[in-house]
Amino acid sequence: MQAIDVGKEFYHRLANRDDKQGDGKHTGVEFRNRFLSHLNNLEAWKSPSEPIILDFKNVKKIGPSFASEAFGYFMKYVNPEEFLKKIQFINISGVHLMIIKEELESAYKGK
Amino acid sequence: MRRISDKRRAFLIRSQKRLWLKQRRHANIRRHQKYAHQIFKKKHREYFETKETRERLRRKLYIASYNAPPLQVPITGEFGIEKSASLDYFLQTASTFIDFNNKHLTFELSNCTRMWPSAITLLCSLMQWVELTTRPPKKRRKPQIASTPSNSDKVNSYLGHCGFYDYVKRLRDTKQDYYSDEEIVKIQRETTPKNIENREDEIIGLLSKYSLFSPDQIKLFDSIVLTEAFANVTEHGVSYVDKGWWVLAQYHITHAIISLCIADNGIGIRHSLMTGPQAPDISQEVDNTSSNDGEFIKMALEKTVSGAIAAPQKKNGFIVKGYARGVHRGNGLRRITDTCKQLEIPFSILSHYGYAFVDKNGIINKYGSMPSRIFAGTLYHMVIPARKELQNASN
Repeated sequence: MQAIDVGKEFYHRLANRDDKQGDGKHTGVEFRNRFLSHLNNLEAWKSPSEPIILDFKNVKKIGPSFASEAFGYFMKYVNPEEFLKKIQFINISGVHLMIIKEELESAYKGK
Repeated sequence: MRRISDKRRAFLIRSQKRLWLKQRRHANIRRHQKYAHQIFKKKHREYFETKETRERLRRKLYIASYNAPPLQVPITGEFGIEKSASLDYFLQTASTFIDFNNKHLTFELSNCTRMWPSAITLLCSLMQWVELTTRPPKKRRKPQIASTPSNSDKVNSYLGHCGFYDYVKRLRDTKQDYYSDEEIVKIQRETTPKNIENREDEIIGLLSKYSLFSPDQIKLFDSIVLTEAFANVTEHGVSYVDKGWWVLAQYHITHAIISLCIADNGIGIRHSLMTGPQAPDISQEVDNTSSNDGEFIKMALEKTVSGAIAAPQKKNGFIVKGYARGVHRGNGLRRITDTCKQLEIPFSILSHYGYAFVDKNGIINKYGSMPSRIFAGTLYHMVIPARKELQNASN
């Protein structure tokens, strides 16, 4: 499956949360609705399908609030391990992957 | 009267009819838009109610008249929160003038030996506050704010160098410049969130050059601390009206620190929490009074509480209340504190009447409230450890 170049197809600064917060454009909610909206139901996660590959080579930064809105939202359907099987991150720095994983864990625990 | 032909008459009737149809179409569109907006408002009632409540609160906070006799504020020694020895003096002094209502306010700086970046941010926020409270249509008299030059040429030089004099549109007191442009991210009037990215780049440049952090640590600081602080600040400081947000970062070679200030002129942490959807839960723990501003800051630092307009409610769990899986949780300030602890950065917050100082081990060693405001909005301040080698080299 072709990877989504997040930096080019979306934005290189992944920091904003939700347009309701007055953060501006390129929010986590916008990302989720644009690239992952088909996963917004339990069946989509249970049915076997090819993983979605997100390429972070052109991403400069990712904030925890963005990660929470864009990826943590799906913790109501799956746990972090299942999520990372379905959505794969490539060319991502260790720090950015750690932020995403921490947000997934935190959103799953509801803390 | 001129006679018109049948052809001309038919043409005029047709064009009149076209115009009438166009007007009717536009009226329908307007009616539809009005209806759609009403439906949207109904659907997102809580969001609009919170926004309106906050705007009302803001207007209430802006009520100020500047009629009292002139006030002189003497500032002696070092002024700022960068060094723990001058904390109490800073809080006491700030509380004497942030809520001023005098015709003239004069800062007596002759015995001031150092103005730290936190003090500069405080003064810029005060200037903007005065501008907001006297902005038309309010026909209030604008107070005159002035300062005397310091006996220390370095203080005068720094006030010009850090961007403060440009901010208040004043000419520099001294031509001699003791400071380098490479060691500072200057304070300036920020009117759009588009500038955030540039400011972040400037801060990262400063950290890369002078801090003790590795590239991964800088990335961590950038992704978590800067992102969360700017998200909070722009939520309150950027709107259709320029309410003000500021950045000032300075490398201090003699103290081997980088002082970083990020601030806004918003409604403050207490008001933000108490006007959000989580207010009923929070009010059970702390009373909504200005004397509890410090408690609210402490709560925001230690617990997952959110003042966001779309914040969810906690649900009753098996033992304690918790959030449902996958919802937005209000972790912003806790994330900043945890990362500062990881990077051993002392971190402090001033918000209206309240303050909290967190040491490099993540322990809140001082918090509380003053009888009057100590900052017009909210200030996030960090003291980042910096290199000493450059100091030795210059010596």
